[in-house]
Amino acid sequence: MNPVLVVIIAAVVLLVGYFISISNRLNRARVKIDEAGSDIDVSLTKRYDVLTKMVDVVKSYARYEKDALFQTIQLRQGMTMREKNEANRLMGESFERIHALAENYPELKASANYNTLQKAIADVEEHLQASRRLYNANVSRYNQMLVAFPTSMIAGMKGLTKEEFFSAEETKRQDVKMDLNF
Amino acid sequence: MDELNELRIAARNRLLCCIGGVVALGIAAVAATRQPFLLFFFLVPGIIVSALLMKKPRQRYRAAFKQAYVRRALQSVFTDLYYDPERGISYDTIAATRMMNMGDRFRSEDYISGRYKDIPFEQSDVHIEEERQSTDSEGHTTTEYVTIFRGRWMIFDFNKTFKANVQIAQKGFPNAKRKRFFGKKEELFKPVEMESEVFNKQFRVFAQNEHDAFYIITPSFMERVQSLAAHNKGKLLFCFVGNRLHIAIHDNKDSFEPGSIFKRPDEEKLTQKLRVEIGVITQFIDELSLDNNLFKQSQQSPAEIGGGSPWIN
Repeated sequence: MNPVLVVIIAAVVLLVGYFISISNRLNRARVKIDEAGSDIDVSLTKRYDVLTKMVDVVKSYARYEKDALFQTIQLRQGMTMREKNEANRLMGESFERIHALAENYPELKASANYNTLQKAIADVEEHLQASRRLYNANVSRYNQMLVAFPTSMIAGMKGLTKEEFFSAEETKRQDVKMDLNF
Repeated sequence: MDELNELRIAARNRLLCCIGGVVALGIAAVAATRQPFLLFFFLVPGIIVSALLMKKPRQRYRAAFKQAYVRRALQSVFTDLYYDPERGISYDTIAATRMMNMGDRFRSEDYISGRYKDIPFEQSDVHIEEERQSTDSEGHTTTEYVTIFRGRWMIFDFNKTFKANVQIAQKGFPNAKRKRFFGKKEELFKPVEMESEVFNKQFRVFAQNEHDAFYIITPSFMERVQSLAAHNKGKLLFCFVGNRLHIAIHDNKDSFEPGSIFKRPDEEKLTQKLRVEIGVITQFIDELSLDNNLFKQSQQSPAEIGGGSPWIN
């Protein structure tokens, strides 16, 4: 057999093997992002559950209309990251409104239900932060792969684009800033 | 202190008598027979007999030190104290974490349980050895026991509720063989990369579930773990199992032991030494803020906290 042909065949086999390997790495990274995205869904669900509970508790003391306490937040399957960010932001605003309202109702603040839910909020927020960090870590690794050569070339051939991060709420960023000032 | 010193002197005198006796007998035998190798015949059994004779006075000295000084020092820091110098955390408790190579020989002592800042804890000194066999060129096989872990094992109630087990191992912790680490359930643990490159360089994280790893190991927690690693000479292992935190410090140290029998005990130095050794326990509760129960809510599941699923299709 012609040695040149052998070299060409070997090079083609190596290239195809390399392409498959990189392609699989990208696919695995995508799967990890999807898994982490589902994790955010679970955490948002938990947050929403606690919020509705909280609204019920507040209503029994403050007789506020539910709509005044939190805007309609709809969670649905297949939401984009932007929509999830928006839902999360709205939930954050609702929690702030509830906290502000509770300041005017000492008996509400002192109630066992309210305090139990406060702890539940702290825990679901922590779970949401964990989901956000896990998701963003995966997105970061994936996005880095998309810009690094030669992965970027294969990603381009597959039509892959950068993924959006799940951002921290503005209030949380402010909290961090405050902490740093101490 | 005087009583302790008397026990120390008794132990020291017994040791000196033993050494003197063995050497005198050896020299007498060599002088009588003019065979220098006879010295070794006396030396080996002499050392064994001396060790047997030394056991009791040394034990008495150790026990007196622990019962009087160590117990008093512990009582001044911890509440609900239980201290037993002779027993330790059991083999089964550590093996049940499935995060430690249990070796072939296990020993533990200086069991302490109590509360600090109302956080329950247990601790003991642990020594784990592994049997290693080697064969020389002539085919002779020798067996020796090599220390694979020696230091403290501590167990604290953790202030977060988690479902999956997580491990943080400082690089260089002597049990890096994952097959031995996790036993048959090795496949359930996966390496997790945290977002901090500095942390990843210093520690390895394994978890049954990535979410729980990120839930437990927050950025602030990572900084605290790094700070603890910087303040401890030994290598650290953190095992989060069953809502409890197991911490192992491999520093080749045996804590809460009296000093040499040849040195008169100095009360001030002893107090300082005990304070440092007790501080090893309290630093983890303080640094990791284990008394912060902000997240330790009632054991309600998400379904119990809320109603049905809010998701719409």
